[in-house]
Amino acid sequence: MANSGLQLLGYFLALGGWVGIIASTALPQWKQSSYAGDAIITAVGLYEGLWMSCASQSTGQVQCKLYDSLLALEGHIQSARALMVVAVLLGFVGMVLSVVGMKCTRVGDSNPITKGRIAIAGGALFLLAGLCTLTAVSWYATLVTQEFFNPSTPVNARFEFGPALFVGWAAAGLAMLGGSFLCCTCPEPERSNSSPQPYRPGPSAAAREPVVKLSASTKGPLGV
Amino acid sequence: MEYLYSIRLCHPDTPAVGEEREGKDQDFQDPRVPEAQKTSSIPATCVAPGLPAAHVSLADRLLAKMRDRLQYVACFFAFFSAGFLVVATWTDCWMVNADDSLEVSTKCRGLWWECVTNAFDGIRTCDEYDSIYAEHSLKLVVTRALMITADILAGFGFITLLLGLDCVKFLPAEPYIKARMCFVAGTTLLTAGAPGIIGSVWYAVDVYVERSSLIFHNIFLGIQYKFGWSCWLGMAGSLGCFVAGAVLTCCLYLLKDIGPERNYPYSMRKAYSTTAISMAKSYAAPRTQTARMYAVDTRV
Repeated sequence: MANSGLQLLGYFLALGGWVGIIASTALPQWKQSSYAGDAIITAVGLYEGLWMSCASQSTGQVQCKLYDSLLALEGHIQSARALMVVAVLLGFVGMVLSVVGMKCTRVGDSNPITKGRIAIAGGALFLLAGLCTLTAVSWYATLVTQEFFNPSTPVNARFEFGPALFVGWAAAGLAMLGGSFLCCTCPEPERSNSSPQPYRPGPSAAAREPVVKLSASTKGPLGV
Repeated sequence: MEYLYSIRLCHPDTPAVGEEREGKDQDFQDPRVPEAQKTSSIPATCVAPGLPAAHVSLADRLLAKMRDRLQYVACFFAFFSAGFLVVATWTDCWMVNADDSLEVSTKCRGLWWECVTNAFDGIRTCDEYDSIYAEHSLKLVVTRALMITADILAGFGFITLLLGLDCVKFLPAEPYIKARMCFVAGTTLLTAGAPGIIGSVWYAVDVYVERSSLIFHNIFLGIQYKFGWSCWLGMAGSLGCFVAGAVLTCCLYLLKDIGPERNYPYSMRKAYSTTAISMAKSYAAPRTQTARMYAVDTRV
């Protein structure tokens, strides 16, 4: 059952990663205005995300505005959006598939090899989702870094990494770790082929009950 | 499998629906052997299990299938109502300005912050309420507390229900644990629905009373509020919790004695502990057609 435990661990890691991917997609803090350099104390902090840009006033108010035009957006934001949405969708499908394929569920129990393959497919989808997130976040981070060190950028308009990027990195790591745990629980083909009763659902109480009942009722009249 | 049902129908120690719950303690103490001897006294009604038995087994199977489906229905409801409750707690439209106020923007007030969305340029300005120690209205504080309680209870109920589903292998050696976990999940969901509905209805009633008293006294402050979609979500989530809890507790409780699996939970446990298990093993093998017929014939 250690295998099953590893699967469960992988599933919950990947689930956490998926939630993190959703959170970092929705968060507006992909980059935030930098206070490095002359230590300018400003009354407004600027944030930019994939969907909106925000300004946080020192009075505690936050003003946000969705980006107006889809087509006028910069290419890297559009591709980051696409990658993140694809990662969320892949994670969703992976979640459903690995629930079906994991050993602790009773769905499709009659065919352990197929079940194992489904679990591996779910894990692979989680791996892909993590890779997509990693690509999007790292690309965005590279661009932010380039812009920061570009000498033609004015000091006041510099941006640095926001919290959403770190959430994205952590989520990608979790999803990839969980996906690889799900993937490395390969079924053993020889053992499941040589097993005498492949259709037996295991030593659960529910499965054995009718057998006991039959034997008891057969035994009854015979014994008398 | 039908022959199993018809045999079970005639078995003298088949407990009735009410009998089993009351007599489970006696079941524990009864040894297995006398029970087998008791079979000599077959009730007269069971001598010929012909057509009625077949009908009952069909209805039995249908009801058992329905019970399994009901679990998933309850799971669906529990998932969405827990989600609704959480979303309602953390979104900002508990109060929204009514149409008759002189505003060009949508003003939403939530439990934690209020936001104004400008209708023209789409800029959304949010302002958090003052610190938690500042002066807040009783309505706000109580609704916050009730909604968080409801969130936690609903989440706990949902997780318990997930572990208690028939298709999840959790504690497989423990008989009857699934029904118990479903029952616990149902009770938790019912308990979660209560603070949720109290909180959201209280908030809604309070907003309504505020507004109608303003109108009654003919005071016009320039902005009037009605309750918004978060409040509706809270109510819907609590009602969904009630539905899921009712399905899990009442329906599964009424149907729990039907079907092949749940009839002998206590005698099963006994069978594990005594020699009956070896008996079961030795009689499991010859389940051929003739053995089947023999089993039925010796009954009649």
